[in-house]
Amino acid sequence: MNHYNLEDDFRPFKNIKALDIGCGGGLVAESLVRLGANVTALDASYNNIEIANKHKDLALKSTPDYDRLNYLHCTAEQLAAEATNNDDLFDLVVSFEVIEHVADVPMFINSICSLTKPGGCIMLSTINRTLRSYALAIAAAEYILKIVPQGTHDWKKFLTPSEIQVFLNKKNVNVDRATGVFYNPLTENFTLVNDLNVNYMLFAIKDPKTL
Amino acid sequence: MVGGTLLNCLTKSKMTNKLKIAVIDKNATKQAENTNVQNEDKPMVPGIRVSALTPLTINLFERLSVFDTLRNRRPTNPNWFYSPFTGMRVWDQSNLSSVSFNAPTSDPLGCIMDNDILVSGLMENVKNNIQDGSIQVIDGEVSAIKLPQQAHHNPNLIVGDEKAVLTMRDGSCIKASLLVGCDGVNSAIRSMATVPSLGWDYKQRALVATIRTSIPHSIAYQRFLSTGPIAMLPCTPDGLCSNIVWSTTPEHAYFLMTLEADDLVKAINNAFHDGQTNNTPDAPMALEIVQQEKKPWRGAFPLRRMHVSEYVRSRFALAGDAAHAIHPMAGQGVNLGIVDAVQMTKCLQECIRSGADLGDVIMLRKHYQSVQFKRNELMMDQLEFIKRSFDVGPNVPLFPKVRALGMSILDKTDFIKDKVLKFASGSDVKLDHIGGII
Repeated sequence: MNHYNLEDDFRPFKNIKALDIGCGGGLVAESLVRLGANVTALDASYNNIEIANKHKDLALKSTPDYDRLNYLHCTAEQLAAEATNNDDLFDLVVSFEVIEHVADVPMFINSICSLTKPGGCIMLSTINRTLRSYALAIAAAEYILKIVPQGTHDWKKFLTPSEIQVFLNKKNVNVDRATGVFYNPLTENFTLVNDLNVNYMLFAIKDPKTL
Repeated sequence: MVGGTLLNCLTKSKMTNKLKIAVIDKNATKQAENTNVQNEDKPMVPGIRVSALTPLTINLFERLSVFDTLRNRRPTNPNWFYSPFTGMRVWDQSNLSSVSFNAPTSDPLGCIMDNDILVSGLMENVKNNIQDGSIQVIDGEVSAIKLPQQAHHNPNLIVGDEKAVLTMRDGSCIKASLLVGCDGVNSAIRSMATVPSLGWDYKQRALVATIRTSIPHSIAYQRFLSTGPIAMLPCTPDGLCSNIVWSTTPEHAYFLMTLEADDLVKAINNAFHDGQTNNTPDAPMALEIVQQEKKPWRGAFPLRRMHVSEYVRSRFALAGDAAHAIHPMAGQGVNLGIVDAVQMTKCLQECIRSGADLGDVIMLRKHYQSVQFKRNELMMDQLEFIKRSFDVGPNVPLFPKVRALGMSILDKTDFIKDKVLKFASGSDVKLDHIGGII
């Protein structure tokens, strides 16, 4: 109980340093802040950072959460290059629906791993490279249902869980759990499933003994 | 009542108990005075406005210690406010047949409570437990509200995420992440938010009064007359006083309102016992009207059915009668609203647990509106079916006989009766997420 700070406020992530890579408008970053984390969120697009900052003003102004959220216009690689000592690293690094758009995947994963403290966690979400993901994420989502604009995704750049796992393992990061995500367009509900064939999430932990 | 229940649920459940809440009520001061009057150790005289509480609602109030707070007011007679009923008898004008429901266990089918006592108990119970000023009770009226705009082409798209802004009559402003309107069937908040509602007038008025009966009883009686149902609900713990709810045509209701007390008693007895046969339940005779100082001894109000098409908007929700009004014949009205409060608590817990913004319209839709709209609409439609089947007058050939046959089949089919009772008592609703914080 004490561990999760459940006794007073509901702030399970209190005192946790979190990094959101590819934060977009700040959907995840703001939620993490509300759960108590100190969040740094970055995006390579200056537009996104501007929008996220505007939203932060509207949603969090005059709350104690406001100062615990910082947006940066940079890439993970740049931040990793600047990180010199342990204080620049993070307890939790999240990057949702980003890796499938990245040009140099090994370098991106290396940066994520080096930004994580030993014993810290990494959460990634992306789309698998399977026949089914082509049918659903490209054919259905982009061309039939038009939930996302055409050309958003390039199927050839999708990664399988094991491909990501190989890059993570090289940096002493071990996948602890993997879960599929299923979207039902009729009920507009997302549910967690065991099937990793389309959308999936990985939860990985960096070996505490890493130097 | 629904607002008070929501307040109790939120302050006493995990995760929501730290929320900063403002309660706006134009009767707040009056109610506080009422509480002091009830503390005196006089016998309880029920007012004319009462509510039937289902087992679920009773359970909830026990869980939230609302009933304990009321018991503490009169330690020598702790159950002074609680009038349980253990059975129901339903029959119609033709006296051909009747349906009786009895409590399957030692627990009652429900209880009747004076509305004023319940509301004061809810507020007192909150005040007993809150010292740190996170709850603010404001005696005032809202004169205008401003909500974040939703984009026309896509209601999920909120233009700006600013707060809900309330302007009060005295000019002061309140900003909130979420505004919940629980201000009854004529909700001012609902009209300020211009939420469209669907419904129709029943062309009926309900006359209410409290009577003393010839013998004590703990049965809820209801007879369907061609003008509408009349109900007798035991409303004191000794079972000697009963509340009458008589739904009838507006003209008849106005006529009844002009009667002297003695004549109204005669009219009530006539309505229950006219053409009585051995087949029909034997409701107690009304002896006299119970009158209270400085309070009306009878009242009447219009009946309508109403259901709003959307319960929620960005930073805005409706609960209770503000969202749905039904005919009082099944005594479900307030209980539906109380389940709204239970579900709203769950929705806000879900918001806090996942780090979502309170008042996020997508969360409100998913965890509150979609659940409650379905449940309430189902209940309302079933009641509508029952009401309409009793609306058919004796002049329609065969129908009264068919209805009588239906009633006697229902009366002898225990498993259907069981299902009806279960749904009516709210046994589909879980309360695990409520309470736990003292």
